[in-house]
Amino acid sequence: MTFDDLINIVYMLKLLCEVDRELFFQIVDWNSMCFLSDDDYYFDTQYEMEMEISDRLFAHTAYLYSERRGIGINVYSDPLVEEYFRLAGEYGEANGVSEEENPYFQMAENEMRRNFNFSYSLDWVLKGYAKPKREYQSRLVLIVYIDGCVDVCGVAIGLLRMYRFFQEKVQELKEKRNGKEAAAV
Amino acid sequence: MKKMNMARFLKEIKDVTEYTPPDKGKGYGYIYERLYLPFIRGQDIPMRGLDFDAFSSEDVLTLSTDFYDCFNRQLCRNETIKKDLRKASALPSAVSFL
Repeated sequence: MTFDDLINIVYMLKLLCEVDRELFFQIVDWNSMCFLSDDDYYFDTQYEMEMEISDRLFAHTAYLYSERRGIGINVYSDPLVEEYFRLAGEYGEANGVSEEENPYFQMAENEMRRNFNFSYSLDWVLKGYAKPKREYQSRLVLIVYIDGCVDVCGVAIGLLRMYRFFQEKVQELKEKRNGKEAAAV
Repeated sequence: MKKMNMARFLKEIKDVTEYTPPDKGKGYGYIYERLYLPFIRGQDIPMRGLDFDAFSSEDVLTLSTDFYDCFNRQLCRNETIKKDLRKASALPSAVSFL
């Protein structure tokens, strides 16, 4: 195991501990999390943990596979994501900003770019709706090209960072809204 | 070719604001001792004993950056020195003089 591998695992676990402490204690198998200097690390355990993070972090996940196109489509959504775009829409309305120029919509796009532009075999789409017409309409979509190779650890870390981003920005938007309401009173 | 004006060059350098690297958090020292040092010493690293509240995710990223900026260069240099020493011819034996 390289130091890079070790740091990636610690970083992923720390992010999980920060965004969802309950899930952190459910997922991490402490019996296998010991890096022995004289033994090769079994990456299967790490892989399973990464897959479980990807499957359980967001409340709603879906997977579609197209053999004809050679792609797997992973969809992630959560009440947190919906709340983010709803609050971002309210912010835009309150400040007379269109959706295209809404800084919070742009920030979310930039954050997706920062976290998922690490592989030629991975594409992404972010769909955000200020006034959704159905549940989980605001969502993240990751498109994996089957012929390629995508680092599962990178995907898990990217999803964790996106979740943390939504948590922080929802808090920020709520504080801005509450500040305006207080000022109006 | 123009000659450099050393007096002016030295004055310009003195006037440059000194760079103060950002302070590393307390958590950095924690993971430096619990992860980096055991790793380079070839010791076991049990994750169960790691207190995940004692450091932040930014501390982990800082340690990773430092590893590639400083420690990795240092470790590679040590390996290079070790390889050179192995290749060096043996010192002449002092036995023949005894």
